[in-house]
Amino acid sequence: MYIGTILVMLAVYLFVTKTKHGKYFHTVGDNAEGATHLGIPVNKTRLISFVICAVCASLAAVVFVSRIGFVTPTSGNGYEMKAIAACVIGGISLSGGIGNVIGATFGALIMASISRILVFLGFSSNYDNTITGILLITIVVFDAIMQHRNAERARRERLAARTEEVVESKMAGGNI
Amino acid sequence: MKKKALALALLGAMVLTTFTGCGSTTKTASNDGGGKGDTTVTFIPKVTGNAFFESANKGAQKYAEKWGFKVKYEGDATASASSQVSVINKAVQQGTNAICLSSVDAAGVKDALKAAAAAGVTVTTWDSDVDPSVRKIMVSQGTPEQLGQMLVQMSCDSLKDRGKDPAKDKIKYCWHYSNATVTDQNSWQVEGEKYIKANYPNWENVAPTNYYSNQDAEQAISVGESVLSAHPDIDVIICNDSTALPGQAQAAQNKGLTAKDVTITGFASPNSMKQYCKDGILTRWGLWDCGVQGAMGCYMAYYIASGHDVKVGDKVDIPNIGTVEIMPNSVLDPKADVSDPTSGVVLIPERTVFTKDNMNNYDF
Amino acid sequence: MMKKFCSKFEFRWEYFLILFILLEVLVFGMMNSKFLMPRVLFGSFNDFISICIIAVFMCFVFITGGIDLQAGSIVGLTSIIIGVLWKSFEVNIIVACLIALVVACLCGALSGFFIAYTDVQPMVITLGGSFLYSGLAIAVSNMSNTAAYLGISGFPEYFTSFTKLRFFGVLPAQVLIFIALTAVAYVILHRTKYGRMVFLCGINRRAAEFSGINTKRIILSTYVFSGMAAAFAGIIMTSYLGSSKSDFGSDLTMPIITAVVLGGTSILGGKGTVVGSALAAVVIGIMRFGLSMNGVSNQYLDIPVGIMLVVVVAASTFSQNEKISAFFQRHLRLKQKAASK
Repeated sequence: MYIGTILVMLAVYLFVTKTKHGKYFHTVGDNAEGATHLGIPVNKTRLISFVICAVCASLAAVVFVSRIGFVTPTSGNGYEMKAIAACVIGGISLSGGIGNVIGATFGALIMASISRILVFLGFSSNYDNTITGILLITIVVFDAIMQHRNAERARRERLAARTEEVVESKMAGGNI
Repeated sequence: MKKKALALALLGAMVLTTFTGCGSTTKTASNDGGGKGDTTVTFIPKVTGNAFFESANKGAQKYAEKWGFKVKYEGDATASASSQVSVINKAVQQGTNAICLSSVDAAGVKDALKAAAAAGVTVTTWDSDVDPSVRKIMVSQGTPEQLGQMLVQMSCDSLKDRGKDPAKDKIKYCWHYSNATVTDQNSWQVEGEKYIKANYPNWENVAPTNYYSNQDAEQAISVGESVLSAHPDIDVIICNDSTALPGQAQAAQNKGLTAKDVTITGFASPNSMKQYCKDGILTRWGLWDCGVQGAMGCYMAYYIASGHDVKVGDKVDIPNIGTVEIMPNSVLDPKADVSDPTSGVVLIPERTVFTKDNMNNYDF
Repeated sequence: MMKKFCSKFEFRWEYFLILFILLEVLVFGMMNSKFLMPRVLFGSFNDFISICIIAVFMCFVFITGGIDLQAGSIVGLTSIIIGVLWKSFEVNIIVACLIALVVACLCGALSGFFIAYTDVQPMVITLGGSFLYSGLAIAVSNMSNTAAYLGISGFPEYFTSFTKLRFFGVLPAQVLIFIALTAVAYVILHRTKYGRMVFLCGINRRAAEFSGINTKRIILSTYVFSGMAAAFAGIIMTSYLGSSKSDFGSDLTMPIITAVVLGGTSILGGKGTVVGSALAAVVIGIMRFGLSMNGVSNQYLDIPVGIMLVVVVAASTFSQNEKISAFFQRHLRLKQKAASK
């Protein structure tokens, strides 16, 4: 089953990054208006993404039933929050356009193993939620700070490149 | 602006028809509460959608048909005190004659039950009790001591089955159940611990803070697996929660362990564990007939609501089940207030230990 | 004449909500006359008042473009802090309530700080916050010497009685508290400079920042308000139920968000009213109560609420969609032309 998951993950990754239709997802998330101008069917892509999500949820339900054997109507309660947390830990941005499925898989692995790791470390099960919360906040804040730093650095580089051009052209003897 | 108004008016009409549709169809479908001279007992579980409470409801409905009164099953899908209070309030306002309740939080529902009693509604409890002053009868599956000891006893019998001597060998054990706030499971764990410390000082609890899986089936399996991995030499895992036990058994099966390697026992409904017993993952587990317990609770509520007075010491004959005696509240809690003679406890006669031999006789 | 009246009449969402409440009361009252008894009708408020109180202040957060998923956990944290302080540390209950209020504001401030100063997605931070605070609530309950499962109860009479008072025999005290808090929130949001600044931060954060508003502080303060409202709800719930447990409010997050969105607040920010949120919370509460009084089993109560939410959000988006509004306009114009002929 693990091999199956890895295969699916690789397949999805290749689909999203290499094929034309797969790249639509990133484009629509990044800049919907720009995508429309390019001729990409934005609404259809959004619709398809929701459908894929629902299909994955039903696949998850099949796996759930096969592993657990008995189900109640409230079986999946709270899973949506954990799924969102897993995606964010994996680097997917909630404002769209950034992230890939490998990150999401790792995020899901982390979320799922927190309670197991706590047992190993000897923590009382009581602290399960607290540690999940702290972990989530730390990772996300860290990621945001790093992104800020990168954006600032990129801006500074662009500014430096522009001023260099001006200085160079001056030195080359032109009159500005 | 006009178009907005038109669009919204149309939608409002659509929405309204949905509601009236909802209301009328379910009205005819559900058990409409009495008023025709029929006594209605509202049967309120801790949470709906749980196998234990659903089978209790089935039992109650089956017996109530024979006994001639209506049982209305009302509950919330979340096990929270505030939603249980609103379910109680609604039942009272709908004019029910009696309430039979398994409480999520004894203190939280106290005032709602007081208001119910003031409105003339008879209150009885089952499975999870409330303050004795706000209910008439509690149909109990056993005192915490009985249940705690039963868990330890089952563990001992299973240990003996696979050749270990519970009185002499060094036994490692732990508890795996729902969470630290559930009243009844924690009271059994406390009593079980006391019993172990008193009689089996050679047993070592490797996790004094216990393992919790919050009645989540998936978590029960993952916590179960991590327990087995973190303590490879563990001897006994006691799961006194009907979600934790199947999960722990599944975890053992995933790891390829059987009853010969580790002893798993606890409380769960027979149907959820039959397959594991057949596969040899565990040898025995226990429960009680929750269908009968639910039915008894409803019968006592109906009995008192129909005008019979009961007091401590009385013997009540429940048709098709047997004769029960009203015991004083001190049977469950030695510090309980015994001054009100109309408030008492009914103990269900027996708890059952399910093994491979008798498990097919039960279907719930 | 009718046309002039129609054009002067500014259609506001709140009017629709009020109309809807009256319709609900009428329809449910017809189906079950017990519903119309004032005692019963107002008594039902007790069950959903927490949602109303928190929704009223959470619309501040929504207006700035954020979202707050941790309010439910803060309710539980407040409740258990009150219980533990009162029982194990022998603190006066009023002081315990104040301490819990301060702690809740700090919780809101923590998330608000991260959201405002490090530009993180609010949904994720508050999600993490909800896990964190519910875990903290369990940790706090372990600090008390009563076992977590027994719950803390036995609060002094004056504390538990104030939520059970009924004015004129019908109006519960909780409804008056709710109305008072709504009035306070209304004044803060719609009548003060601070309220204007909150709106501006939501409409265009950069523009607000460039025009000199300290957006970071404003966004932080909205989360503090949200935490404070959760503390109020926690105090009222503890008093009403007479017991203090760490998992109070765990199922409140989604109903609160539903109420705020139904009240006309846009998730993207910049639009919303306090009165709308309050009315929407009441609409949802009365609908659930009315349906259950008419025999709908508890499991199905959320279906109409979900349908209503989807319908309302879809309708409000549709009515702003140019194609559809143009379609309606053409239709109506044709009708008018035919009528005037």
